[in-house]
Amino acid sequence: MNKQERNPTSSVADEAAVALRSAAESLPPAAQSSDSAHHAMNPTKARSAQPIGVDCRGLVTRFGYVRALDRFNLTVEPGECVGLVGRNGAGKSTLFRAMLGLGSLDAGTIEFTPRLDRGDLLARTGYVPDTLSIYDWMTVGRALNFAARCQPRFDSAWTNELLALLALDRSKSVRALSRGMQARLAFVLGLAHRPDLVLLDEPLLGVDAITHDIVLEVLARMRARDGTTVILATHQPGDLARLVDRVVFVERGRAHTSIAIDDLVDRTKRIVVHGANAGTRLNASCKFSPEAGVLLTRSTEVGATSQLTVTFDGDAHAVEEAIGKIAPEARISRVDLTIHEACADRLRALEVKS
Amino acid sequence: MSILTPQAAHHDHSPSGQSPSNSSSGGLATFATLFLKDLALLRPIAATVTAFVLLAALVVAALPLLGVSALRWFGYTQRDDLFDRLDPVASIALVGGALVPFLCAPMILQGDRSRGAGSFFATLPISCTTRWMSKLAAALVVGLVPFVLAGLLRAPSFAVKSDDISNAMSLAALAWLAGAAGAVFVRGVPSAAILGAAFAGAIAALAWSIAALIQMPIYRGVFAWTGFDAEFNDYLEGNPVGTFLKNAASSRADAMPMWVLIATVVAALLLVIWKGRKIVVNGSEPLRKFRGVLVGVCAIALAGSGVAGVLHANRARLFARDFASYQDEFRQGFERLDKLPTDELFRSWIAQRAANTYSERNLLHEWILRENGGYLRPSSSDDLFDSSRELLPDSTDHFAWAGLEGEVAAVNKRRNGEPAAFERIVRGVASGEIPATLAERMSAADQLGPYHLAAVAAEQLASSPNLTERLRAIRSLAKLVRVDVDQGSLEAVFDPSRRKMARDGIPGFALHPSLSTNFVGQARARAVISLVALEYALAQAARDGDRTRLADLFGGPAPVVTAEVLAKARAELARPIPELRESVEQARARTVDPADVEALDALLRAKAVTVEQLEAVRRGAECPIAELFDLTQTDPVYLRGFEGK
Repeated sequence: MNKQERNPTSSVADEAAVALRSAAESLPPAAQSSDSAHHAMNPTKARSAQPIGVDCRGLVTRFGYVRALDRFNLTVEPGECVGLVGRNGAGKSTLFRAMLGLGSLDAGTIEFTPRLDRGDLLARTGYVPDTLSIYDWMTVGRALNFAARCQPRFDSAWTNELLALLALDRSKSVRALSRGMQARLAFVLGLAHRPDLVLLDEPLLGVDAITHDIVLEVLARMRARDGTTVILATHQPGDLARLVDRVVFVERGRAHTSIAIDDLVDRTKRIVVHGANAGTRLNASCKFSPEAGVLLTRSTEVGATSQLTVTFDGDAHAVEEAIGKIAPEARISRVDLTIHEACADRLRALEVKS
Repeated sequence: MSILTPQAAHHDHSPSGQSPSNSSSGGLATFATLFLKDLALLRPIAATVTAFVLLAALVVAALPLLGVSALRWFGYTQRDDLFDRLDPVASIALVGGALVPFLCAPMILQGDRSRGAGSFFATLPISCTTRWMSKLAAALVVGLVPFVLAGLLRAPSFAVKSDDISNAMSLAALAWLAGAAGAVFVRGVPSAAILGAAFAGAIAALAWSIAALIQMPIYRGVFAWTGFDAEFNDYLEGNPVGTFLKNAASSRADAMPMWVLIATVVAALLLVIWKGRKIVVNGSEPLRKFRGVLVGVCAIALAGSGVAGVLHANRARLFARDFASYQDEFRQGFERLDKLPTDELFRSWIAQRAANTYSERNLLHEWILRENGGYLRPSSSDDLFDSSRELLPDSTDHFAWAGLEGEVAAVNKRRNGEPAAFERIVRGVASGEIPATLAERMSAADQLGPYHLAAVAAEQLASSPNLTERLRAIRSLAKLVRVDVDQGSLEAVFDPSRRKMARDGIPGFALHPSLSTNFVGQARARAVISLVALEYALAQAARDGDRTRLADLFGGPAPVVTAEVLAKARAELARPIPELRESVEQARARTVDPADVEALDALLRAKAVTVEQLEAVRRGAECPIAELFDLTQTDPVYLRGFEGK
């Protein structure tokens, strides 16, 4: 499998490294003198870090008749980075709110490692919501000052370096910030106290490519140096390859599949069966063996013929053998999937299943 | 490992339930930061109210620059100084102070969420106490702004208006609670305000209805037992809300049911706020599981209304007991007079009425306290008089007047049965043909009509041996015309509630504008007008001799009063009345009646702040008659006999 195809963001990552270097070079003299860019990428010297682990078991949260979380189970080891992928309304944001104690749980337990009371948890957790959450009458500087006075672990030097990297102007009004700038500020506010656990709920919506890469790079370096635990909910699976250890698919309030990021593409295979009416016949009668691990089948009409697309995570030979028995005339071709395609097919499969 | 279970999520995991933590921020600096943030949240509302009040004050201050017509259009006179004009502006501030909390409460509680900072604020490691204390402090500061403004605007008469301010602050406190309760259920600030108001109203209505349901059968049982169905209906026909508000003003024991219901509403609102405290701080979804809250609210409403119903029932029992003694007194009074012969009955009644109406005590109350000093009283509690207030366990002597009512019933029965005898005796007493005191003559003349009363009063004035008699006569004459203060001008009209003196045919007049607050001066001027009206009526009667016209004017034969009596009455009117302030102090020195002592003491206590007003009273009592009228609009006939006096 072509590595370039498996990870289409790698070239962008190279560009981001260039952007980071240029961002560091563009820092003001004071920041440069403190080697701020280096510090920003290596946020370890100020204090020792102790990563936090999370174990969610059987979480249930109801909104009326809707179960936003439905016996949700998730374990994140200290220092691990987990990506949450799911459709809108799958329950990712509700999970974050439950972890932070912002919403009530109807059932289930959330355990943190090490033991933390709520004050400690909030002081050591960074939450980056999908929309900026700060008073709109403030300026960026005032918002940061507000956070500094209320957050005992606030790290001013680290915050200044993030501001410089993300090119945020302290004097600018929050109300006047664009969507992307608001996302940058939300990111700074969430990480300003150098948290040991970072919860990111679609943090990159609306940001430009350079900022996108800076954010991922900062998170990756925080992980590498501090061992920061990261839980990232995203609709952009391309981000996952650069950051997360594994991906958890969330559908209708449940965590269905947990798969290592390195295995995601390898284990998600797709074949396309071509041939007159072969697709239709297969779709109607094909029964794959459990070893095939078929996730999803889709039949499409292409001119006078039909074709069947099969996504599976099992043995490819078993699938091809099953197809050959029903439609020996069919022509089978394998397709290499990107992370994005793999995630999309797995989500579709979950949706069909549920 | 820390473990959060559903219970923990409800309790330990909430800001209010969080355990102490070294990482929680709760210091003074954090408090100051949050306090400034909460003030900033309320800034739009507070600024709007303040700006509105200050703008109104500015307009009022600038009104004189726009001319007299602008002043009058807003209901002011040229003589109203700035603080007089600012009074309504202070009322605006008070209304704002009472109603704005409906908006402020949801804004301060939901502000973090409504201004987009809900999750940010909720995820800051700040102690629950600091969060709530900053909100309470900001609420206190902003809530006090309108009241401080009102106090500043009313500074010269702050003591007099303190009732308004305390009432508005009480309503504001309820509005804070109601707004906060609304904020628990909905996210929008206006909708939370409306919901909170509706919520408080609904709880009050529910509690009131339940209390009424409880009390109704008890009332019916009690009154059926005592046989006072008619009175029962009268008692219940009154507006219950109005009655309750009046009782609240009275602060008497029978206001207890209302206070119980208010406490019920407050308790229900507090329950809702308590259950929703996590929501307003965490910025999470509106209150779920509201059925439990609803059940709690209903339980509180039931308990409170039950207590109120029992208190009502106790009032009904007292009412029935007191009403029985009323009926007893009434019957005794009726039988006491009903067994007298007709002549003796009417004479007795006239004498008794004269003694009651024109007694020294009555004079003291009606003249000095009500007409001259009534405006000095801190509140017009008489206007809030509610008959049910009298129905108290300690009001054992409150039905002494029932005997008098029984006597009146006996007189009315005899008068309806023998009208000719009544007319003969009344006219005989009024004219002096039947020997009687002046007080009795005036009492009888009062039955015949205003001209007869004016004639006897003029005679009394002409022959008044002392100040008391003189004041009685002046009061009797003055009461025949009523003075309306309208748009800063004074217009005398004849009392519509009595048999009218003829307004037509008498020369035009206008009182001096300074008399609008000078009751003694007004009384002297009104007495002059009565005398002139009497003179014109007598002259007209002598001129045309039209019996129909005479009947219209006098209800029969005209009163007899000589020119000498009228001239002497005028002379008495022109004489200055000794300073009433001294009279009040003297009256206090010799008064032993506890009610009088209390009233006079209140009057004397108020003296220090009303020196200027008392001075105006003194001027009205001593000034020449000509100064009581606006000479440019008054016919000289009113000043005849007063030249140089």
